[in-house]
Amino acid sequence: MTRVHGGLYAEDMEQLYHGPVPYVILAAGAVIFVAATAAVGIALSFIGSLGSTSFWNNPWVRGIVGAVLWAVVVGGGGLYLTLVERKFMARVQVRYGPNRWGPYGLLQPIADALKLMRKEDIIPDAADSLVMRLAPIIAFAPSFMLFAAVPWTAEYVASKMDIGVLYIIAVTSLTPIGVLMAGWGPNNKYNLLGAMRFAAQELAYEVPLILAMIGPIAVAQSLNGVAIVEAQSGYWFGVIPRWNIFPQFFGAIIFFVAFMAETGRIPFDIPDAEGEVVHGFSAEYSGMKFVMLLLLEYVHLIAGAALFVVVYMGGYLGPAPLSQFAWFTLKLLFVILVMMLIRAVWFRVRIDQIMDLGWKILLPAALINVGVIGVVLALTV
Amino acid sequence: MKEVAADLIVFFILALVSIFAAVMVMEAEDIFHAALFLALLFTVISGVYILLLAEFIAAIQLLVYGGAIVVLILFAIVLTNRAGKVGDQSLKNLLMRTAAIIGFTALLVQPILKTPWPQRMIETTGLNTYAVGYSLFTDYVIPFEVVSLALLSALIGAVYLSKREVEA
Repeated sequence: MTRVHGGLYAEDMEQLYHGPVPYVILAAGAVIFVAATAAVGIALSFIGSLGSTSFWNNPWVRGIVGAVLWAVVVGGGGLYLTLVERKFMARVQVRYGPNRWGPYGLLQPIADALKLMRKEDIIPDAADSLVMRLAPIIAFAPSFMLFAAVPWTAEYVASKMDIGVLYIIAVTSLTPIGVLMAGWGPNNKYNLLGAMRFAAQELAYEVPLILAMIGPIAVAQSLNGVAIVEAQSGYWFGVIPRWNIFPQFFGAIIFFVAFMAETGRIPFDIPDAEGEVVHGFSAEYSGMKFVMLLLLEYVHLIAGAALFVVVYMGGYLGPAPLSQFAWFTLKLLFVILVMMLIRAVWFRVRIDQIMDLGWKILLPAALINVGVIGVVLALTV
Repeated sequence: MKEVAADLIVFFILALVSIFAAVMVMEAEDIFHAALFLALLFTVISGVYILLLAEFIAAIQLLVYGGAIVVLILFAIVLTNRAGKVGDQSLKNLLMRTAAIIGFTALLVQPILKTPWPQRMIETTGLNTYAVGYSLFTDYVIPFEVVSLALLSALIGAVYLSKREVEA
């Protein structure tokens, strides 16, 4: 038996290339994601671009290109963020991290994905099988749909819809339905407990998240992502960029904590706390369905970071040598790395502490923040 | 002319799905499935709002009904025991349901016939959200505040009732 890198055997490697079923599932999944995002992008950019004629403003072009672009970023990015996170956390915690499979462990995510795809897809006898099968798709799709309104640059936005950030909030609020389905479908107590924790957490932190976005919305006087970014252009005293994070520092903190809780990562990862609820709502899942529920966390991470960059960190704005595209990507990576750093050095908090923080501290703080911003804007504008 | 045809096709798809979902909310034997069909119904209705170029209402529909209310209903169902398939499938029940549906539809016939439906699409300025916000805080500011006060009192009442139960 010849041993190759990463503990896989040569026989195993051969088996990877037989059995087309996982690839068919993967391809179908990819097509569904792309189609869903394209459909939403097309539908909503019809409203945004009535009467314009240029090539990029064609809703079909804009919707399909935007969908493919984000599908690549979120699919590939989500896959590789697992490696980035493991390597980064390992360095922070003075370990090596994955380093067997390819140079610097660069092929590790692909090996992981192939391994997970080969796994048997188990539906328990007592499960509500349709609900269980649909749950990962319904949980995953909304997080993917929201990218239709995230402006990558002033031009590369799938849909320049008028209601940009409101649309993002609205589709995000559908995720708990899918997660509750994943909790109910498999007929397992741990799934149910994990899903209930997730839904409770999402409900608690959604309100401060929305309230913290009201400040930048009021400054821009628009819900459109591009308009919110454009309102942050210029400098104070010629050096400090006019990003919302500087005058609205408390709003930014509330927003950051709230979206960190919504992604359900350490220190807010009680929905899938291994020691308590055995990985929560994904406990009974295996194979590709498990991958989708696992990647949900990373898609949420990219989405939350993108939203934070747009709303508080000036989106694609930045000095000339780098393009708008590069600035947005750099800021996105920076926010993601900050979140990974927090995960690497922090610990899990208890469920009652999380609920207390959401309802008793963040919610009043966000309300006060909205009031103060309202008064300041009324006095100055 | 072409756009009108596309509108009609999309509308009929949405209408058929929404009727199917609404019927299934009543007919589903598992209460969890009924709640999921309710979520589908709310989502499809927000699609109808988009078709009417009321994208703000569509987003709010998705956020409040799809996000908040359905999640709360699902949450409440999840807290109960798994009831399994319930529902009365007897002939008497079927007749009563049919009679109720026919009666309710008959009530709606008169208003549908009397309402002067607009014959063409209302022209939009593309500033719908702005217009909604503006009129909410100028012409309708008092009704708006009254509604929020009513909601606040309902909230406080709910907290009071649940508190009292714990003490007793």
